[in-house]
Amino acid sequence: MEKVLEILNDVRPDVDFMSQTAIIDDGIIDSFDIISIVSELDEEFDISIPIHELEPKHFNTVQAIWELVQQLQEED
Amino acid sequence: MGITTLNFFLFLAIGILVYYLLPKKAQWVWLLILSVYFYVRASRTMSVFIAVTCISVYLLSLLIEKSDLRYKEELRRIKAGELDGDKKVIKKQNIHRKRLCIAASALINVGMLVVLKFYDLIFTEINTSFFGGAEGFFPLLHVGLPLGISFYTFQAIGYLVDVYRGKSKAEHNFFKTALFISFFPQILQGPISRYHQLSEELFPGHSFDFENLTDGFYLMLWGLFKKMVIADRAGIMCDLVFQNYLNYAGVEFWVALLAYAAQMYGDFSGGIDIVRGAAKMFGVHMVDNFERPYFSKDIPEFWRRWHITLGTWFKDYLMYPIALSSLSQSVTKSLRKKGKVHLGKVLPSYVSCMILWLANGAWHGAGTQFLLFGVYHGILTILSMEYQDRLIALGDRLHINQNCTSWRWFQILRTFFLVEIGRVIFVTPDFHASLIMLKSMFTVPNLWKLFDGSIFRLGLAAPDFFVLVFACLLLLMIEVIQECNHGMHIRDWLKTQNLWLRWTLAFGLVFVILTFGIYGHGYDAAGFIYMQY
Repeated sequence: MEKVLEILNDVRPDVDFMSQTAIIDDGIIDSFDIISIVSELDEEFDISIPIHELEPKHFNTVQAIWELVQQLQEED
Repeated sequence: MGITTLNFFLFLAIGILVYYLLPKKAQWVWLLILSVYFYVRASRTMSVFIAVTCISVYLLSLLIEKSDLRYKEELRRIKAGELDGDKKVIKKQNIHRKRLCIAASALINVGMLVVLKFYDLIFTEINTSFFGGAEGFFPLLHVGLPLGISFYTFQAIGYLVDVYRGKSKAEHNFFKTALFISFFPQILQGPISRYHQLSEELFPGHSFDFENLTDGFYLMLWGLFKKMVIADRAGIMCDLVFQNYLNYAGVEFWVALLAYAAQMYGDFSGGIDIVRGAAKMFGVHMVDNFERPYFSKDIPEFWRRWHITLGTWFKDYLMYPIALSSLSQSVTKSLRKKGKVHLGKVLPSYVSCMILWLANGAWHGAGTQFLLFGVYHGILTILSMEYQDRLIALGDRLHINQNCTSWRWFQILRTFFLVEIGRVIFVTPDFHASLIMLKSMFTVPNLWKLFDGSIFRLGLAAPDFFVLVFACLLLLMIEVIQECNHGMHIRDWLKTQNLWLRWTLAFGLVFVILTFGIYGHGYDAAGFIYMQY
């Protein structure tokens, strides 16, 4: 999960992601950030996050993103 | 039958009465009958185009579902050892089959949209430029544009892509698919709804709830106020000044541009309020399309708050697929390897953003000015994303407090200014006219015209001009209240007030609309701007 946090901090160093519970719902990151984060996650974990998974529930917390990554790794 | 006509209100009243007399299971059928009547009455033979969309999307969604079922069955058989095959291969085959369905849908539906919208405009231009007349060489179609085609096509394609992505299940009842695409309040100008949201509102049926009726009534009244008192009045000034731009200069353009800001917002957000209010009376909750966009602090935020459903449609179905495609990913990797880390990171976003904005411009019309409008906002969005951090850092170095109210108002005014400049491209007949107007706005010093009565000769005499100003101030006041209270609904506040106040305000608004609304031939309001898209 540290790697996920590292990627998030790299894209948006101004946000304390660990304390956030609604990263998408509160509009903390925008579509440009999402594209950067998804590209980084795909590259780092050798996965391919499908567009239909770009849902708030998968990106609202660091934990949720980590769970999505793990789920996609298992599917692969 | 426009949605601000007496006929529409009568149609709505009968529709609601019968709707609540019917059992819940049959209510959606009644909505379909109303929608078909509404559409066919307005479009006659042109209705064939929406029928083609409904049939093609219905059949293709079933094919996508069938392909998924086949994939799952093959996967099950491979796991059970009944079939000898590679999981990755059958997965690819499934994606290929489903993509064919999406391509077929795009060919049929986007094809119809593009041909009907652009063919005559483009070939009229070519004929006029090269063959001496509008019909000099290439024959024109003269078919016209089916009602709401830009809206229902996007909604239908969005549904099909959602089925492709597994976000929505394919609807097995053709008539339910037809209702989702043709639901009458939204057909004229959106919002562009998603299947999983709207289907839950349309199909289960609703018990009569007086609150839905009053909520819808208030929403429609407010929409009518914005449309008929503000937008149609401001439109008189805009039509006169922008169509005769050679007769005006400097500050007159600024005044007309402010009126245009009021017209655009009043027309479209007012129309959406009427649509949502009408739907609410049937118990159908529709998503909002505007969130006080003129209070945005930058251009990206403005477009997240203006025509929200079109923006999210482009983002979900165009921008993300391009930015996250394997091609984009490989470009990113290649740039990173060459040491261009930042470029590799932002290039997919910026390229997809520009494509989004070109498509958005084309969605609004076929002329060069619409594409330039798209390019303008694409560039502003990219610049905003690229330089945001540096501007904040610059502000810090200059010891500017960027968290105070005055700075926020500066940001709001800056965004409003940039949006208005973009609208000069949009509102003028061609780009040459835009340049003339822009040059005049910044170089002709005729501020005195604000005080010598000249502004009352821009299409609105003094009484009408002041009605427009006061109506805009009322709208501004309401929106400031909403902005300061996390987007509270005034109608929710009204519910907590005494009956006499509620009815006084409601009847007061009816009186204002009847007295100060702009009526054309046959007491109809002017057509909605977005209806022509």
